[in-house]
Amino acid sequence: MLRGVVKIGAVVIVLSAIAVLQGDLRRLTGQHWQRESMTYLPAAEQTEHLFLGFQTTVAHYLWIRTILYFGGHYLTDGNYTWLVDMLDIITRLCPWFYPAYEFAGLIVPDLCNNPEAARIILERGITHLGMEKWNVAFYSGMIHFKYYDDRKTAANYFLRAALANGAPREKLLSMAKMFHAQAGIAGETLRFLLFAYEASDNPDVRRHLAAEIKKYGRENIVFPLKTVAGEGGE
Amino acid sequence: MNTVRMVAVNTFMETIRNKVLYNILLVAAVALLLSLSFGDLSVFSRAQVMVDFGLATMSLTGLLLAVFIGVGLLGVELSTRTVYGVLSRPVSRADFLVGKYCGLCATLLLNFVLIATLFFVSVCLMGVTTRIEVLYAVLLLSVEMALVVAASMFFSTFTTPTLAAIFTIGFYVAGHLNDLVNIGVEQQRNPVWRTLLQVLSYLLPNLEYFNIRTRVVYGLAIPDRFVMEATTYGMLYIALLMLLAIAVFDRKDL
Repeated sequence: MLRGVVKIGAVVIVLSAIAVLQGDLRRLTGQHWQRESMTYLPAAEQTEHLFLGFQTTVAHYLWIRTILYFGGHYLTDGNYTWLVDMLDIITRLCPWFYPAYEFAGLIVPDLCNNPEAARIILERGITHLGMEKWNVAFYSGMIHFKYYDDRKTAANYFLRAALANGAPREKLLSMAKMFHAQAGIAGETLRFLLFAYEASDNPDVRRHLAAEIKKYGRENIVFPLKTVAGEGGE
Repeated sequence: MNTVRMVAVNTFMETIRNKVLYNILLVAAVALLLSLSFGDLSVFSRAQVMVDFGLATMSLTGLLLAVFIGVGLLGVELSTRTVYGVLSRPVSRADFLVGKYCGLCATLLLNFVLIATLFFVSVCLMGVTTRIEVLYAVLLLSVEMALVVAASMFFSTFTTPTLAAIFTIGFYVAGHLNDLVNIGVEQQRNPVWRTLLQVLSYLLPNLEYFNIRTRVVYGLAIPDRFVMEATTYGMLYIALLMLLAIAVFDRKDL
C-alpha cells in the first residue's frame, strides 16, 4: 500500500517538475530563440544539391516556417531579417512555388525595405513561371516603377506579364502604353507587340495581340500592319 | 523457376511477420497523416504541399524498409545458418538470391500499395483532387526502392549487415548526387580526373531519374516515354546488381 502511494507520489512529483520546467523552457525559447534558430539557414547557393531529391519537400517545409516567421514578427517587432534569405532558398529549391514570389513581390520591397532582393527573386520566377503567372512579371514592373522610377523597364515587364496565360491583357497593355509614352518612347509598345506577335506560338495570345496591334495602329497610324492582316477580333 | 517462387513466397511470409515492417508502416501512417495537415499550415498551395509531403513520406518509408529489411534478410540467413538448410536441397545459390529478392520486393510493393491507398484516401477526404500523374511518381518510387533493395542484397553478399546498411545508404546518397558528378566532369580540366569522373557517373545509377515528385506536384510536363525509359533504366541496374550479387554469392565460402 505504502509502496503504491510512494510510486504515485513519485510520478506526480516528476510530472510537476516536467510541467514547471516546460513552462520555464517555453519562456526561455520565446521570441529571441525563434529568431536565433534562423541563423542555421544554409547559404542559398549550397542548398540545391543538399537534399537528395527532397528539395521540393524542404522548400514546402521552409515555406511553412516562413509563414510562421512572418506572422510572428508582423504581430511583434516588424523585423524581418531572415525573410529574404528564406524566400531565396525556397525559390532556389522549388522555382515553381508561386506563393513565395507573391511574398517577394508584395512584402519584401515594402516591409523588408529591400526592392533589389525582391527584384532578383522575381527574376527567377519570371524564368520559371513567366508564362503561367502574369503577376510575377507585373510585381517586377511595379518595383521598377515604384522604387527605381524606371518607367521604360516597368512597361517592358507589364508587356511580358500581358503575354502570360490568363493575364488581364487589356489593362496591362494600356499601363505599358502609358508608361512608354511617359518615358518618351511611345512607339515602344507597338514594337514589342509586333515582336511578341511574331514570337508567340499560342493562338489565343496571337489573336489578342493582333487585335491590340490593330487597335494601336488605328490610334497612332504608325506602321502598316501587314503581318497581322486577317487576324484579330476587331 | 519453381524454386525461385518457393523461396520468394517464404521470404514474403517471413518479412510480413517482421516487427520492423509494422513499426515502419505505423510510422509511415502517422507521418502521412501529420504531413497532410501541413497543407493547411502552408496557407497557400494547400494541395501541392499535401501531395508533396505525402509522396516524400512514401519515399522515406520505402527507403527505411529497403535498407533495414533488405540488409537483414541475407545477413540473418547467414548468421543463423538457416541458409545451409535451404542450399542443401536442390536450390541453386542464384535461385536462392533471386527468390529472396523477389520476396522482399513483393513485401515492398505491398507496403507501397498500403501507404498509397492511405495517402489517396486521406487526400480525397480532405477534398484535394490529385492528378493521375501522381501514380507515375509512385511507380517510379517503387522502381527506385526495388533498385535500393537490389543494392542492399548485393552488399549483403560480401559484408556484415551493419556495413551493408551503411553502403546501401551511401549508394542512395551517391545516386541522388550523380548530377554533381556530371558538374564535376564539366569543370574538371585534368583529363585523367575527367575520365574517372565520367566513368563514375556512368557506373552509379542516377536516382534523380526516379524522382518526378516536383513535376507531378506542379503539373510540369513529363516528356513522353520518360516513365517507361526510367523504369527500364531501373530494371537494367537491378539486373546488373543481381548478377553481381549472384557472382559474389556463388564464390562465397559458406
